[in-house]
Amino acid sequence: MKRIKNKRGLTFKLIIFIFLSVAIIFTLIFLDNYDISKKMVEKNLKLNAELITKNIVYKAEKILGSVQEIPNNFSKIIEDSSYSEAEINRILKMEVENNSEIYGACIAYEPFYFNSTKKYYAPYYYRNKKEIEFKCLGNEQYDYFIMDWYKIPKEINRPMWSEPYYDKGGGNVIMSTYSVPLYREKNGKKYFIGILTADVSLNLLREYFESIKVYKTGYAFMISKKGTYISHPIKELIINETIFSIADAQKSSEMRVIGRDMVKGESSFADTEYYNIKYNKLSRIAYAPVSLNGWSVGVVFPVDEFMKDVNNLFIRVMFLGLGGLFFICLVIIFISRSITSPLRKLSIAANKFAEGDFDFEIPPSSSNDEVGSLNKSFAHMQSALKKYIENLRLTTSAKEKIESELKIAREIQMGMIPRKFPAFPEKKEFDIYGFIEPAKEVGGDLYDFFFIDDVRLCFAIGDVSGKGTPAALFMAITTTIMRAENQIAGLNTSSVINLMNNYLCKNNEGNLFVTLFLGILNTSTGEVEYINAGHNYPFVIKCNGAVSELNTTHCIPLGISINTCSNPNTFKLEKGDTIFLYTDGVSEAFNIDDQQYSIKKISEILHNQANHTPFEIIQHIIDDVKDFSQGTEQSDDISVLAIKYLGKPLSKVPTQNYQMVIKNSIGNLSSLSEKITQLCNNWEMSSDVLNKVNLVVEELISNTIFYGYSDTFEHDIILNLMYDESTISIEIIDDAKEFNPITQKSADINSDINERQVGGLGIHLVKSLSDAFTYQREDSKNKIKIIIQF
Amino acid sequence: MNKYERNGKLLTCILSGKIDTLNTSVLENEINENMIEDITSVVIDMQEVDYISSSFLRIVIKIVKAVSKENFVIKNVNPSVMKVFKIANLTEIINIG
Repeated sequence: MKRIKNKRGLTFKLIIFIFLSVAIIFTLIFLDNYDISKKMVEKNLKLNAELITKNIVYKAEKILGSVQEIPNNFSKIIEDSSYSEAEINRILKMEVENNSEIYGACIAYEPFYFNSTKKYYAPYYYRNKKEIEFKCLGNEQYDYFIMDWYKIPKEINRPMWSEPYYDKGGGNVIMSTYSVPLYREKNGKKYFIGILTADVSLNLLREYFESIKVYKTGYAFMISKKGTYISHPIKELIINETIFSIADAQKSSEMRVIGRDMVKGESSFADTEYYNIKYNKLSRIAYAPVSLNGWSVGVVFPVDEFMKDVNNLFIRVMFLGLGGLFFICLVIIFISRSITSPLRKLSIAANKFAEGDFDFEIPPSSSNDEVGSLNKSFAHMQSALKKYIENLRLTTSAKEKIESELKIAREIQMGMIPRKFPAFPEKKEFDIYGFIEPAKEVGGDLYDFFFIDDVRLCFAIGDVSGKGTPAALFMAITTTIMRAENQIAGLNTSSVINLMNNYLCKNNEGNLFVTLFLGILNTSTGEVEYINAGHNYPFVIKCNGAVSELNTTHCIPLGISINTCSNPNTFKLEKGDTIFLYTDGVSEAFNIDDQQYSIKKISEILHNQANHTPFEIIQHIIDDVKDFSQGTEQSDDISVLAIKYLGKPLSKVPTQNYQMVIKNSIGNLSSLSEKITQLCNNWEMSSDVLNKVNLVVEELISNTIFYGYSDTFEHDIILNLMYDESTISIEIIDDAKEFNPITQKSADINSDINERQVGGLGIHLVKSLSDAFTYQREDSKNKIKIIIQF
Repeated sequence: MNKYERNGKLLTCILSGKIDTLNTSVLENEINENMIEDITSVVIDMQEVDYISSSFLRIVIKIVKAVSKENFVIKNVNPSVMKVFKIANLTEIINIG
């Protein structure tokens, strides 16, 4: 997951961050803007709705007012003067004729007013299609005195509009009757004489309402005081339904509340929304009362339509916003491309550099921005690196050359020092071992030993001041002239040292010097003559374990000044004594705590080394120094040389032969054994070897005596014993029957004891004890030869 | 001089000197004489023996076969004599110390 994330580039990051930020800002602005514009629209809508509603009410009032004016005027005429029946009828007829909106007009008099004989007198003109017809209303069935249109105005003493009704069979129009009470003054007193009515067709009102367009599907309607629909786009509702019955049918409490407020004659733009009846659309309603008759006008505003502009704005702004975001994306991609593409090229170039391809051309960048400057820096780095690598290569190859030369130099230097051990295998008088380890490839330490005649061994150890190549060259000179001077016969050590010093002083441009211990051992006597030119005191380990220092210095180190050494000292190495020489690389080896190994420590180690060989002693010291320094870098050259004097070997004849001849009788074996024992004792042989020889001889000869002869004659068995430095040869020659013990099957020594054969064990013992075993049949004789080493 | 000690069913042979081909037959006779009764265990003490030859090994094998290796012990063997037992691979089989 993480890797995938990391892989996403700059473009992606820029897009994500900038895009998100802009989108959030944009959304906030947009939402705020939407909210504000919605409120503004609502405010406008409210004003607009109120205006529209007022306008409609005004128009409705105008229509109704104009209708209502006519009976009002007539009523004055009728009240003020006394017209004849005919005249009144003419006025009524005129009223109907001249006013298209008036459907019918009537004057209903109080009983017996107009004519004392007639209880009911109510002339009525009305439209029947195009004609105006007349009839007299009122009879026993139609007792208009108790009708609302008559009774109510009479009671309340003022004109009034009736509830609208549908004139079935008449004009087939919706009507409402306007009733005006008539009074006449008599004796200064006003009294009621009847009612003047005008039936008004509401068609005009309806047509006007139908003509009203509110947005697309909005409409206006009118209800009566009781809530009955007077005008509505759905014609079926008119007269037949009330706003409350519809509210019940729709189960709309909002509508009921609105209806109640309308009937109460309130005016408002209702905040509640409801589904209008005509289109079943979520709508809001504005309403206002018609003051003339208490009817109420409602105007329906479908929400989606009046919000259309806001929504359009919303969509428009959204598209603009999305377009803007898309454009920002494009700009980001373009910018990041222009940044990342040179960076990518640089990255490729960097990888090429890492692979060592410094000739890889960095694509040029024309821009002067940070990327361009990075490009230039990169190009600069390329050339600088190229130069640096070239320098490094030259330096390295020069260094390698020096190192390989130093390696050869080391081999040459090591070749000057005898390092092959045992150095003199033929010399039994002493054992010698040396060790040298320069701190660097080559060093200034030296040790050397060589015979200057048959018995005298010259040995030396030295340390040139300084380390490394100069010291190594000086060491080479020292070693060479030391060997050269020693070849001059008859010189003692101090003469050799003086000659060497003269030479080294004369040819010492580097002002180096060398400490040197030079000794000459007489291998016959163990006497040692030595000169110490400023070198560490060697140790002498006596055969009894005592350790002492040869603490005499005869002169200052060689190469400093021409002076003369004092006479050499001498001492004697006894058999088993060892002389141990070392350079200060041993005593001054450091450990990690910066402590020195010390001379004291060397002497402690040497204390229990009397029984060890020079090799073992040196090995012990070197191991101890290595343990001590614990991997700390070797600071100085280390050299050690040890010589153990073993004494002059006993002079004995290199090879001795002894021959015995015995007869083939088993009894002779004991004298033979005695003879062998005596011989071996003479030859200073260990009892182990003696037992071996005895056992081999006994087994072989008893074998021959027991099984070799088929006759009873005497036979000679010849035994030759040959002794030299390291071996005893046993030769047995007999004339018994042919028997080759080598091919003889040996006893099975691996079987269980109960299956063991008792024979063949003797031959097995002989084979196991001898180091060489040969058999020959020659001149009818068995010849067995056995060699035992010791 | 070789010594023999009998203690019930146990025979202890204390040997001395060289045991070579020549005196093996004498030794064998001596041991046989001492084993005539109901001896079931044999211990050979070789404290004083500094040399043996294969003929002695033959005697050892014979005795082991007679009394079985569980009832046979060789003790106080000196190193040069032990070497011979080792060469014959008897140290692995019989109880030698």
